[in-house]
Amino acid sequence: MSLKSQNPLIVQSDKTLLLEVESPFYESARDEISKFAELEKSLEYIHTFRISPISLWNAAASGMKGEDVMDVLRRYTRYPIPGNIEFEVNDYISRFGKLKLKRKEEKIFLESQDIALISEIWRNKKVKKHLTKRMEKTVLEVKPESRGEIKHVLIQIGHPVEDLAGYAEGEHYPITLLEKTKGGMPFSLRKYQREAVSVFYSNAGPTGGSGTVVLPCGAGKTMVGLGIMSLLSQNTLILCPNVIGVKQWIEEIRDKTTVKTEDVGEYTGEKKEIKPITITTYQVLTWRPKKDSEFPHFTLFQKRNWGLIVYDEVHLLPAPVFKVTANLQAKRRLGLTATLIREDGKEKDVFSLIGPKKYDISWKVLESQGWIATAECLEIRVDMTPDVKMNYSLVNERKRYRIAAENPIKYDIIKDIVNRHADDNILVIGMYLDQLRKVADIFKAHIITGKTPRRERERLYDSFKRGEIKLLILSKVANFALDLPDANVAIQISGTFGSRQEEAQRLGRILRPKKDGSIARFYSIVTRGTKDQDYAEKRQLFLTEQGYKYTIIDGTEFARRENSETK
Amino acid sequence: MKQNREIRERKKEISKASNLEKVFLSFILMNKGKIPAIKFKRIYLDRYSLWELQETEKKLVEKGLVVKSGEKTSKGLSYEVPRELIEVLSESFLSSPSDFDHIMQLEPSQVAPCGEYSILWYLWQMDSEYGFHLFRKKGEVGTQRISQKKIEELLATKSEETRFFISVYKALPALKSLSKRKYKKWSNVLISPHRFVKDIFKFTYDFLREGNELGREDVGKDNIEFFFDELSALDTGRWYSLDFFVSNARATLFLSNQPFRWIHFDEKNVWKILNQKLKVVGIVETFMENGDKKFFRLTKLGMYCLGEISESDLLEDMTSHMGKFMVHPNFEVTVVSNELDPRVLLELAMFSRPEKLDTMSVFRITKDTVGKGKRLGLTPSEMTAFLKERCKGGIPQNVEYSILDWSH
Repeated sequence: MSLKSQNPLIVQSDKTLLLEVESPFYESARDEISKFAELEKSLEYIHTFRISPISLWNAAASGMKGEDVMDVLRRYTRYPIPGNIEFEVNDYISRFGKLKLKRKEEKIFLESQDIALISEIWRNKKVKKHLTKRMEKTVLEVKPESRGEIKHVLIQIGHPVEDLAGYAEGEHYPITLLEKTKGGMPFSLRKYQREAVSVFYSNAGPTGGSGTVVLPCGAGKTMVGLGIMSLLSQNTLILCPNVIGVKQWIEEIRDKTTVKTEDVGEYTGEKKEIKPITITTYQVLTWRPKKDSEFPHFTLFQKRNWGLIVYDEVHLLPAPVFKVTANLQAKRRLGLTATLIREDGKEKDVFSLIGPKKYDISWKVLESQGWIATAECLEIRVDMTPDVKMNYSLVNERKRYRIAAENPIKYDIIKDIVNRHADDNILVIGMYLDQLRKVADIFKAHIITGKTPRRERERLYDSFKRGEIKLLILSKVANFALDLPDANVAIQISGTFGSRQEEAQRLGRILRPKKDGSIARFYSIVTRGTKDQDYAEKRQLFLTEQGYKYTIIDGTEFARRENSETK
Repeated sequence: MKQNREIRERKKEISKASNLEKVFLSFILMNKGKIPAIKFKRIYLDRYSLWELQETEKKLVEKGLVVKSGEKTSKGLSYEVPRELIEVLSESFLSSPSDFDHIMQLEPSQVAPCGEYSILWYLWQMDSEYGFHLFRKKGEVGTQRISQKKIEELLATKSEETRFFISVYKALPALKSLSKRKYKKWSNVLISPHRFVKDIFKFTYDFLREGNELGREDVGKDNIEFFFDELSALDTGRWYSLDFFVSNARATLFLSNQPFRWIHFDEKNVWKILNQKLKVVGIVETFMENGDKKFFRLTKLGMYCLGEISESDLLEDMTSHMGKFMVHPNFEVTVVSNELDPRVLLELAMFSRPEKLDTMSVFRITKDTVGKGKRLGLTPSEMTAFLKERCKGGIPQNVEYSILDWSH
């Protein structure tokens, strides 16, 4: 067998790269390819990367040339490389660096040696509104507040900008990571966390400092944030999806860094502290007294000289924060997420305003290294009773999902699962409160919804963590920033339609590695042949593309097995 | 003389045509050499850009391979291949069926009805997503119940060979059911590809035996039988020169003291059968070196048609592609196109949807495609068995379960 035939890479004419996971050259090829292509899918046997203009411009920003990219492809490809690839790689890479954003005495300028290109940009209506004047034939002055927008627009028209204007340094605040947590446990960043920190920081050069780190749920994204904060040692503003997230950040900062307790501020509905390290929520930031009034809490961005803004669960970034972020291009910006997919398709906006994807690692790779728990996904398909079936067929499309999702047969299956996992820590997660309350009634279990007071929530979470409660019923509050390390079984009974990221986040609730190395089990109960099943298929797409397999079991069969095992 | 020179020149142009140009030409050919521009664009722009269309059109018109006729408005304009080039082009495409991979996404309604079995081969190549179809136009039969005889008439009007073909197929249950159903748009008959080829071969064989393809009408039957005996004695996959084959066959005749040693058996006629009758259906592959020295080889499919290997042997061969064929839990099937037997792709396309045709092609199985597979006559267990046989490490449980579930 020739060396070529053992090569792990297939280069497609649409610029996707398919990498064979079982090849002995997989790791070396993956490391090289990741420099200029983005990981798109991690199926069990094949990982798909995509070479995009942005990924090539990122590669160019780190000093790669077209020939370097082609060398890697030639080294690992199994089949001849399609003719268009070399042309397109060279073409895209050659565009990078033609336009530069530079800073001179607090003013920002767009420069290029190509007079025709500068003239074209000067005439372009979309770009021109971000420009003040043409200084010379090769220099345009940019409106100071438009630094983010102009980069976004120029990428849209195919002219990437090398942003050399640098970052405004924030107020210094020393942050060091502890080697032993305050809880007494040894602590250091894991290899992949160090890699993510290093790629983002980029030796404090202009190519680093803004971007998104994508890591699976339970893989320690907060630690990556802490690592970057410690390298920069500047005032930091952290945005979270909810108050529980704020509390968890505060807890981690106190436990694992030298930051003093009094220097960590909580800016939420309850408190409005502004400290060197301040943590807030998207909800507070986007609150306003009237629909058409200003967002009063946006002033938080100006309240201190922040050196870093961290966007936790960046895929949830609300539209108003997009806008304000566009004006923060002089600040270093870190996006953290497990699932950079938005059902509104605005992932690209995240890239252009927060920064491109800087680091990504497959869920299954971390699972194989033991950093996240091995999970078994099971879908249990149940039928409807004749009454429900009749009801389902009589209502309009919009109401059908709810009827199917609330199928009462699901309660029997939940009972079977709970019986099967009597010694485990179980979360039942759903969308419809009536349904969740019913489950809570059946098991006399505690339920947490958006209306549960924060203190009550914290008390219940703590009881669950201590093992006093073994079963917790959760509404959509469980979708994010919920750290229950010992939860090892999740039962999903209804969801937000076909939301892929919700499915992934819910699985994420049970992915913290278990002390005894046991596997986590993620059950979805789905009503057969209904909207519920259609949505389930869509919801599972992200996880299956991360290499997870769903086993589908018939509800009757599941109950039968359960009964025979019990006997 | 001048006209021949022109055709030769254009032949050269055809041989040098780019893939995009071939695609352009094939769309016109499928419509019997002339297609309204408006219809053409609808098909072409499904896969290619307007820029590619304009550039390719310009080049082909310059080369004289395409003529724009009719009014200059987009409604009245048509693309046409010069009549004298149609045969040359067909020849050229037949020599490289892989050129037709791109047509896999054509809708049946975009393919013109044809009668020639060589054209049926085109359709088989092109229309793999739908399995093999015989096409007929709505206008010709309306939505009335039609008799089998009527179908034969409709499909057999083009040539004698097609009539033979239909006579072979008239007993097929699929064709019978065709006559019993009402059709609003297009109708089809599904036949699995290798059986289809074998059946075509049967009637080709009968046709040859009855004819005088080898030059002597009085001994046509014996000639053909002897020719196929010699052919089936060859090793599969090995290239033979035509000279070797003919001289060897003659020597066999002489040595074995055959009663038919006086059979007329010359290179020209043998090549005619190989290149015009058998290559078309994939029984042999042919190759010409410097336009002069001729070679051919017998395919595995050819061995099956000649009765040298069983259907299970043939199908086993089709499954020996482990690692090149993967089914994933997200319902994607990835296949290394150029290392897989095209027949495997054709069968896969019967119950999946091609999403990307490239070095590694991607097909997707959905509820709808499983429904399509069922309509084309596949059972759910046949679909899962097909995947299991070829897929390294088996197929994901959720895919198998869903195929069975969707079929209910």
